[in-house]
Amino acid sequence: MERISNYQLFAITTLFQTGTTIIFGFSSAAGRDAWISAILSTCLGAIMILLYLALMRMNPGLTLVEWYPRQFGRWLGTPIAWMYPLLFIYDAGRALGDLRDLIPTTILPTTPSGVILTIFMAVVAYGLFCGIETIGRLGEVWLPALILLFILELIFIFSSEITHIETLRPVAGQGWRKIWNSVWPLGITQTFGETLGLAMIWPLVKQPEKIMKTTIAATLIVGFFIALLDMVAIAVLGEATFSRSIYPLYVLIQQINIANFLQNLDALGVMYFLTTSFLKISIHLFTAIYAIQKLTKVENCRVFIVPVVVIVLYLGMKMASSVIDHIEAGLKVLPYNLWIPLFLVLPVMLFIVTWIRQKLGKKHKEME
Amino acid sequence: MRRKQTIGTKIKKLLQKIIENIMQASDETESEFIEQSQSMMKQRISQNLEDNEAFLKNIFDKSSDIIFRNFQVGKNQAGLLIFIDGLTNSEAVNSDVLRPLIQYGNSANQEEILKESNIKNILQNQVITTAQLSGGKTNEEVVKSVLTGDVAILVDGMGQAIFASMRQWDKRSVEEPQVEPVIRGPREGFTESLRTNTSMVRRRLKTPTLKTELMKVGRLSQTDVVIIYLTGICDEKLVDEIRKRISRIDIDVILDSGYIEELIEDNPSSVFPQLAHTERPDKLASSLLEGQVGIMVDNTPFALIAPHPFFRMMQAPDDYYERALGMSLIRLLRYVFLFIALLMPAVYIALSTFHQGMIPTELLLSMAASRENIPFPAFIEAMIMEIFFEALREAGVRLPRPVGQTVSIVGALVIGQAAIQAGIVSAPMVITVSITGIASFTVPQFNQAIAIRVLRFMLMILAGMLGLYGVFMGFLVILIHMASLRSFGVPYLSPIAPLELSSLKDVFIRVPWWAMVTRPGFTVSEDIKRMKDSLRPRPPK
Repeated sequence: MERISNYQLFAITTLFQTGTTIIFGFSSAAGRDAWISAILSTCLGAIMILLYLALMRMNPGLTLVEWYPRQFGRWLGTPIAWMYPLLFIYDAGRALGDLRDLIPTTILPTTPSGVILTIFMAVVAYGLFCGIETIGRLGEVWLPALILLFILELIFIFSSEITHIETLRPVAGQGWRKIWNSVWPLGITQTFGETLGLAMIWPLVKQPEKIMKTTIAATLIVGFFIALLDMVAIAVLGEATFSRSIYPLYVLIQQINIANFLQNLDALGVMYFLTTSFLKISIHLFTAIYAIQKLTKVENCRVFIVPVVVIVLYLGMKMASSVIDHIEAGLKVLPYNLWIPLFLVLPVMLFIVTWIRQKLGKKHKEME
Repeated sequence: MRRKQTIGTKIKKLLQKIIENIMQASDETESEFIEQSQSMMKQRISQNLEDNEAFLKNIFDKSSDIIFRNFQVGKNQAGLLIFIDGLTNSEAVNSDVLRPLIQYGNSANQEEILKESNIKNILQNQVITTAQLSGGKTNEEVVKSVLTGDVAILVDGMGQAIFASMRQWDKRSVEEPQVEPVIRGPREGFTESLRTNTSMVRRRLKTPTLKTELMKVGRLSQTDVVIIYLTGICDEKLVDEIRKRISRIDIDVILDSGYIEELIEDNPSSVFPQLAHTERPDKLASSLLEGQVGIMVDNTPFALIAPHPFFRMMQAPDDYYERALGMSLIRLLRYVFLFIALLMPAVYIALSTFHQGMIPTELLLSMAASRENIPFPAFIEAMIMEIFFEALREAGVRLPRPVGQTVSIVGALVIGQAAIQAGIVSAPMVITVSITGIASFTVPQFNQAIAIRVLRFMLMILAGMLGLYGVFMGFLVILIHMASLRSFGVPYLSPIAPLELSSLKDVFIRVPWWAMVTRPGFTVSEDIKRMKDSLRPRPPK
């Protein structure tokens, strides 16, 4: 049985939540108050993750897809559980779709996206074949490197003298309604709701008692990091550019210019995005494959890797006809149709059912 | 007498068989012959010396270096010495074995006839004056011990053999290590003689917990392989595993520790070596003290160290002998140049082919100017230069000493000035290639540097196809591979992944000795503390 350490879980959680969020900038719809909505989303997201963690505590040693059959019964629970691996595969396809447009528009304008994505998924498949331990170690190596890069980026931005703090003011000048609109439902579900997928990994952690602390710490740190990035991006780009550009953080890195020597670091920025998306897609697929394994009770989960990777590749290529279409779907269609039911409604129902059953069970025992 | 006859006829039959075998050369008789000679080998030594002599002379047929020396003990008891000329100290054979044996017959109590029962005891206790003596009862033992350099003593009627160990052969003296030089530190390196090597380690670790387990590997070579480790510090499971993997080896010959290395690795198809090799006794000793296991092989000056995680390769012995601050910075420099050795040509190709926008404008202009007349794309140019550089380096290793100067001068001229002036390659490319070449020499472990060189070409090809994206993906694959690799159960990237904070003191920097209180944790079992706390020197008040 492959196991991961707590620090590996921390690294995985951090990179997973950062994932594709940093490509598009967090809740750029909120304009100059995006950072407030980031903080708000983090707090609400953390509460939601606490719910997931509570479910984990109530079902010790079980993975996400085993919760439902256990509490709802086999006939109702299994179909519900099957929705999660499908959702994770779909989400991975979306994350790949993010890259489909990113690479050609930024660093490789003439290379067909099919080639790029195929190579990317081949590497993902290799990572999956090596197993969760390897992915955990990968996260462990990357996290410090990415933090270092992030600090360097901040230093570069500040020393380029392009930040204008006053663009952040007035704080919440356009009313809380606008902020709230970007928090609910997108902000909570997209970045933090997907953490539910990690419930597949939680039983593999060596010290289960520390999972709650680790996950919440990672969530808060990611929230802080995203809010900081949003603030810097708004301070540098101004509200208009920030809301209008498709890849605001990419534009942000382009602005770096120190003594006319350190400039055009955008390719490095893309590497940055690639790293986090790679981990996000890998984790999504690992959880999906692991869930399918649990549901089908097949012994070797590696048989699913190639089919799943091919499906994700197809989804990533064909999901949307253009980047605008892709983002539209992400902003409007998905949250209400997929994410809220699966990340919020079902877990809450599960929580209530589990809670009642445990109360009843206790009473039953007391009666006996 | 009957016994004598039977054995005599057997030998005759055997000789006949050999002749038949040569005549017919058929497989059946050959296997039969081997079986028969093997059964003969297993047989006990005969009471009759002539039989023994005939048998052994038959075994050691056509071997000019094997000496059979007949003599007499007492009045009429015949004896025979067998040894290999060149493997034994002939002076000692004369003075400690042969002379006492012959003189014993002339001494006062020659009445006391050597009886079959006490013959061996008398010879051992009163006659032969060699320190290391042993006995054997089968023909096989005689053959084996003669081949390893012992002197076998057979006496008529004794029914067994005495082996006197007086091995001595010409060997290279202890010299300065050739491939792992240091500025400060001991200057002796391992030699081809296993005993000399173990003694060099023993001199550094004078403790009974230093164990040197002997194993014999190789059907024909019968090479001595020693597993060396410190009990109490090293994990016993690790030693078991290594013992198991070595005993699995069934090969005809072990000519160098490299054979063992390839036969006991975790992942044989990986480009990364999972064992280190060293010719420095001090390095081996320090590895043993950190819970690793050494594997020493006879006839090679390179000892193996297992397990060997990746970051070990960035540690050079000087790091621990010279002042901590300076050596820490030098180690960081090594890391920088590790990345340069791996990535620089690939990044150069990617930047100049796909991402010219990333290069600062003025630099781009001067690069473009120097590339103006070059007929090749950057990728081809880089490949030509890199391959040429590798060839030059290989030639430097192979070339006979006297022509060394010529090659290096011609090489330097061709790779440098002439190529640029002829407009074949650009100056920035030459700079890139030479810096890369120098950078790969900063890696202290040579076999790991080979891995870096191989991967560099892979990344160059990816850079030529997909630019920085390709380089990044290639790097990712390398990283995934390294994260999944294990060296004797130890993750290859430890102590970074899985993270072990206390071991980080000796990865990117080297903290002063008084701060390295504990041993690095990945293989150490019990004795985790290296020294007393608070050894930090303080000036007296």
